[in-house]
Order: sequence, then structure tokens, then C-alpha cells
Amino acid sequence: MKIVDCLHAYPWRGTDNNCNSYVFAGALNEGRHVVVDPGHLLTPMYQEPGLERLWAEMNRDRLEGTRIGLVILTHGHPDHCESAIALRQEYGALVALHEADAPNYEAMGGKVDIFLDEGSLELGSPESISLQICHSPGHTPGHVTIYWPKRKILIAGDCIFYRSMGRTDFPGGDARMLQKSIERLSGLDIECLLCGHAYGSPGILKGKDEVRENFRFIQNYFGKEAI
Amino acid sequence: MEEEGVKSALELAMERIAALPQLTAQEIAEQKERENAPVGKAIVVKYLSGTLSSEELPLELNRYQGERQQMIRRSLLMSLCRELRLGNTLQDVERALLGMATVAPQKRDACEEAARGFHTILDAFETAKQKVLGEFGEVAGRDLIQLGIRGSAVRPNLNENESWKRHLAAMRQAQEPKLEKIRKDLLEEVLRG
Repeated sequence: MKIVDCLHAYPWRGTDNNCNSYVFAGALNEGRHVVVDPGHLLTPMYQEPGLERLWAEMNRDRLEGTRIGLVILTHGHPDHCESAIALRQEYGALVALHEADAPNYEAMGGKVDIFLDEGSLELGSPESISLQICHSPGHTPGHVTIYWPKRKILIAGDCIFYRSMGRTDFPGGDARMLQKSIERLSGLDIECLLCGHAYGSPGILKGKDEVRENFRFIQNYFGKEAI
Repeated sequence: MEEEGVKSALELAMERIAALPQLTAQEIAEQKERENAPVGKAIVVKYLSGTLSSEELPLELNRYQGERQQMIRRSLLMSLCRELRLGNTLQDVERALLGMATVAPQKRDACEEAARGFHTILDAFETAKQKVLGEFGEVAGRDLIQLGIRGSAVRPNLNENESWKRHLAAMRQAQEPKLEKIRKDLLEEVLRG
């Protein structure tokens, strides 16, 4: 599903838990793609082939899965990053993740090539896609969200969902940090919110009003005095 | 013609054993050493992981008696001594030296001398490492730019950079003769008394 320009969304349509993936097609030099959260290689309960299905969907958009040059991980949970291990090992893709989530990912056998800090990320040259990496801890200590100011798009990972937010009961989770992260992200000018899971909707919220309403709903959940 | 009786499996096994050459006293001692070494190593693993405190090391050793205790003590000291290497954190090395000084309290001075020697080598290694770290970081950054990846959010992880890993290994190797001397002197001293 094409969102805008070169950005494609691949919401997970399986039975088991797995994440939505997003692809900046041909964003790198030599036309290689950038994937955000490739998800599970095989889902844990029903053994659904996550990466294979992502590739099949990319193929429908005439994008070759083996041409992924960079994997950006919003955080180090296996339902977002398991396939990154295979993409690095088999196809030489580089893996980028916040340093605070690296131990979790490395415990799965993953290797990190680039640590992502808060700041700018330019993909491709000479005409590049200018993104902002926002450190958005709470769901995990090293969770990042990816903001594209030019297109007013936020790839939110497991920070924000449709009328909901990420869990904080996993190791390293912190509800107060998540609240602060969401508060900060609510100040961005967003017209399209791309969530890490299709919980309650495909996980793609379009339109400024819809995004604002979603933030309002979540902030009400936290309590007005807390925001 | 007299008929031969059928031999049992035990008899066959005993015949084979009898045919084997006798072990010398030294070979028997080495065999025992090999059998007991894993116990000393296991105590060290538990100690370095924090499961055992340094005070508990003598208690662990006292669970064994006589010659066996001596063999386990030797293995334990050798394992701790091997932790004096540059790939370890300073805390790990200091913990290993504390363990040695606890197991061989009369050799505390030798452990302190080894610690001083290790710190000197570590300081020289870290200074040399910091000198080239920036250069490797810049090269890794340029490689990423070639691929079309740049920005203030991008920090190459040199721990996964093959050329940096090779360079670091060579730098460690260069310090190895000095470290080996410290380990050898220390081990000889703690095993002596």
C-alpha cells in the first residue's frame, strides 16, 4: 500500500502477533530499500512466515525484498526485529537501532551496525529524504519514532496505536516515560500516523483531525492533570 | 582337541584392559588434575558472575580435602589469572585479582603488583585505542554516506566493524607478551606457597 512518494505500508494481516512494516522504496544509493520493522521471521505460535509475506507484498509493488539495504528498528522486541537478523546475515542489510535496546536485540543473536540517536537521518543523495529520529522511550528504553516533517508523517512503532498505546509491563517498560514521549509527539505536525500494529484498525491513521483525535483520546486516558 | 569356553563380555573387557600399557605415576597425576580442573573453573565462573562473593571462595575450596583440594585450588587460581586480559573490563580483572588474593592471602602483595602492572598496560592500550578510534569512526561514517545514510542520528557501531575489530585485536596482541609475563609471574608466586 503506497502512502506517499516512495513510502509503502505493509500492515500485518496474519493471525499471530506481528508488526506492521514500512518501506522507503529505493531510498538509498543504488536503489536499495529501507525497511522499518521487518517483524518476525516466523511468528511464534502459528509459525506464519512473516518475512516471506512481507516480501510477497513488496513484490506486488515491484519491490525486491533482497534489495533491502537498511533496516531501521523502532525497538528491540522480536515481533519487530527478528527478520532483521536474517536480512543482515543473508543479504548484507545494515541494522540501525537505539543503543539502549541493543542488548535485547543482541541477546536474540542480532548485530547492530548503526546506533540511532535523537537527531536527523538523511536517506539517499543528492536528493534525500530528511527524517527526524525521536527517542521515544516507555514501551522500551530505546524506542524510537521516525518523523518525516516534509510529509507530516510519523512512524510510531509501539508508542502509539489507534486509540491506544504501547504496553509498559515488559522489562524496561516505563509508563511515565511513555506518557512523556506521547506528550512530546503530540506537539508534532502530523497528518499521517503509521502504527507498529494493526490493533483496532489497520494501524494507519490519515488526516490531521483523526490524528489529533487519537492523541486526545490517549491523553484523556492518562488523565488531564497528568498531561 | 580341547574346546575353548565362551568368554563373557566382562572377561573380554578385562583382557583388553590388561593388554593396555600401564600409566606412569606422572600420567596418573595428570589424569587426576584433568578430572578436578573443571571444579575450580566452575567455582571461578560462579564467582565472576557474582553468584559467589570473594569470602565464599575459601569456603568452596574447604568442601574438598587433601590432594583434591590442592588440585582444585590450582585450577581456580589459573582460571582467575587468565582473566587478566585486555578484552575484559577493569572491574572483571580487579575482581579476579581480589579472588586470587582471597584464596592466597599470603600473596596479596604479588596480586597488588600484578594489578599495578595491568593498569599500566591498560592505560597505554586505552590511549593508543582512543587515538585511532576517531579515525575509524570517520571512515565508517564515510562508508555509510556512500550508501546514502547520514545525519546526526547516525552513529556507526564500531564493535561490529570488521576492520576496527581486526585493528583492535592486533593492538591487544601487541600487549600480549607483557601481559603474559605478568600472568606467569603472578601464577608462579601464588602457586608457590
